Amino acid sequence: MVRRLWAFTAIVVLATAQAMAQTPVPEDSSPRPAAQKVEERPCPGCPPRRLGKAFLQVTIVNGFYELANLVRGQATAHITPESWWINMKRGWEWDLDDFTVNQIGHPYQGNNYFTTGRANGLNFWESSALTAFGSGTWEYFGETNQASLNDFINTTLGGIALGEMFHRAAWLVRDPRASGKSRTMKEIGAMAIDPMSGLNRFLSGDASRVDSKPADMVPSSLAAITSFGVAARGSNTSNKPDTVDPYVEVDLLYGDLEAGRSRTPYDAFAVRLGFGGGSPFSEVKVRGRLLGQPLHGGALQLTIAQGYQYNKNDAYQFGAQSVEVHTATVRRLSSRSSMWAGLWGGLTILGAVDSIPPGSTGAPEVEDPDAPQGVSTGPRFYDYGPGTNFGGHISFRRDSRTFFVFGYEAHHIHVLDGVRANHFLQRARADLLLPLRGRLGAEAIGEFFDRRTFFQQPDIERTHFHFPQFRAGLTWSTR
Amino acid sequence: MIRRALVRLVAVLACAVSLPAVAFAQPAAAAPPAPPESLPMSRLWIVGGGGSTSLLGDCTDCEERPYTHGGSVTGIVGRSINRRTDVGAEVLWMPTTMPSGDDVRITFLMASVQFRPWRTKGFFVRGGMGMAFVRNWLATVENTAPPIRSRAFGLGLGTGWEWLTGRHGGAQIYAAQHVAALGDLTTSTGSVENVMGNFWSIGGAFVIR
Repeated sequence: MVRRLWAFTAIVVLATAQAMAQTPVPEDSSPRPAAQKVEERPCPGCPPRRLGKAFLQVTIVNGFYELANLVRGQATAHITPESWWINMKRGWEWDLDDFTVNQIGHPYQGNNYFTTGRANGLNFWESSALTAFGSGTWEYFGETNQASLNDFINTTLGGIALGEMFHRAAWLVRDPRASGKSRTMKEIGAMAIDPMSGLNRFLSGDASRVDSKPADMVPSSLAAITSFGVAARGSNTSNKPDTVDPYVEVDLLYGDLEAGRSRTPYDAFAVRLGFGGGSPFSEVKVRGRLLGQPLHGGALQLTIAQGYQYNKNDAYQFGAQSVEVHTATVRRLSSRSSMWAGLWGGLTILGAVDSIPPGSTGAPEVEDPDAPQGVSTGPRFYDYGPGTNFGGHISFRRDSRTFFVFGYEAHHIHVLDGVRANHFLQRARADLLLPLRGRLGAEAIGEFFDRRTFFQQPDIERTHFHFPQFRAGLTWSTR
Repeated sequence: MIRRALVRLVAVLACAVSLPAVAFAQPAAAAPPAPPESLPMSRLWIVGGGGSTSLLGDCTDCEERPYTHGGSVTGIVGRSINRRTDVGAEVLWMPTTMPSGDDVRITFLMASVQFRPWRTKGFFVRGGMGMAFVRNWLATVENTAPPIRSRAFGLGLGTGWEWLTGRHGGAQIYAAQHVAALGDLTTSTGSVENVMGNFWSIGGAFVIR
């Protein structure tokens, strides 16, 4: 076994080293002066393509996270060549970390790998491969604990979704045609959204160079709605009391999701961030278009999208990485009114759903006093598995302003690690939006959350939990 | 036993065919694999070969984690979407004997992407996701053992080097790790929870483009 692993390692290391050691050849392989090579950019305003630097910076990102863990006193940060070798020999497992760490923390770390690629001139797909490289090397060499399969998937796929979204969002803030203090402030603001691109721009001098904005980073349309108000929630169980909480929700629509042929990933995406309403961080949803194709002369729009989702509410805690196919149509109802309706379905590559193991009270996880800091010993009150998802939406507009939206979504997770069960989660939501004055509006939202768990053990009863939620608040629209 | 020997023979033959082709058919080691810009690029992408694979079965309550070794056969059929990236359907097949004594065949069926960061070099990385199937589909004469028919979430990662020896043909060497997350696995000795199979492979393959 040891000889095989050495051979395996040798192929990986030698192939990588040989590829990295050679000077990258320019795309067209034609000889150019050295000074021209440095400035070679795929488009005006784009960063130069620096593949070797991208790999190096991803390794530095891993080093940064490793040092941060070391400073925090995490036992898992005491890495040695021996721990690397042990990790390589043991392979992958499911880990026991906290839900938020695995479903938000790891995707955020993956976003740093992805944006490192984008900051160094790599395209979406190349940056995706770089994210997998960063995630894989972190799992094997960044921690002493065994490499985790769920971390790898969440870091890679979540990192791609969040990374491209943050990368494009940061370009909304930057204005490379400007100069002076306002330009610097915008560059700093963009760096807060996409730290790796910002850092590279400051280091390379691009942050102060007057240039045009990359054409790819200019959306065909842009709309945002920020809403805030109060959410009142009911419950079908005495364990969860009725509550009234404040909430803030931000919706961003980047590009035109409704029409057009597209082969540029994330040239259109939708983001929803939810805060409050019973949980400090209640929702993150990113849907990025990978491919768009009009059908039947534009009467129907086909979209393949990547999804990242995190929900925390009284009925369920849910996180998922998915790929979906959407079909939608826009119909004009009158000279001033129109309707947008669609259906979607897809695969959940890996989903996580909170669960209460049979025989457990579901009490919060108690730290094992003997466990070193940073080592999760379980039990883990959520399950992992692949699954499916589907849903639909319909919205009505008058004078290009949406006034009613109804949406339904369902997620099925077949548990591979955790309590043997099938989880079925549903959510229906109806939004009524009324314009008040200018950009200010009011909203009333009715929601219904439903969760059913079908245990595979015949002696365990099916669980069913649902609750309605009503929200009322003010909205601020930006176009 | 005959079947296993046959699989190993196929794997060894694949390596034997691929690796000398790699070693001798390429006069300059650093010659670029990519065809010149002017030549029309074939969209077809076929990889076939085999290698030596080590398997480690792991589970939550497993005390012993024995490795098993054997030959594996791999194949990919797909198409190139650009000069750096290929996508296709990947199959990895490996027969083995589990610690419980059950003879099983493990088949990975995955959507796979191969990416060459440097277009003019043979270095590639490969990743795939899909399903893995564990079967003991050959019934024993006594027919006493219960059938094993488990499906798993499958993931594969790999890297290697590819040489194009002609306009359309070539060879590659690869190192890959495949993971099969089985959930429960029912064997002849009982059910095992949270089973994860790790497969490390090294091998060679022919490439048609």
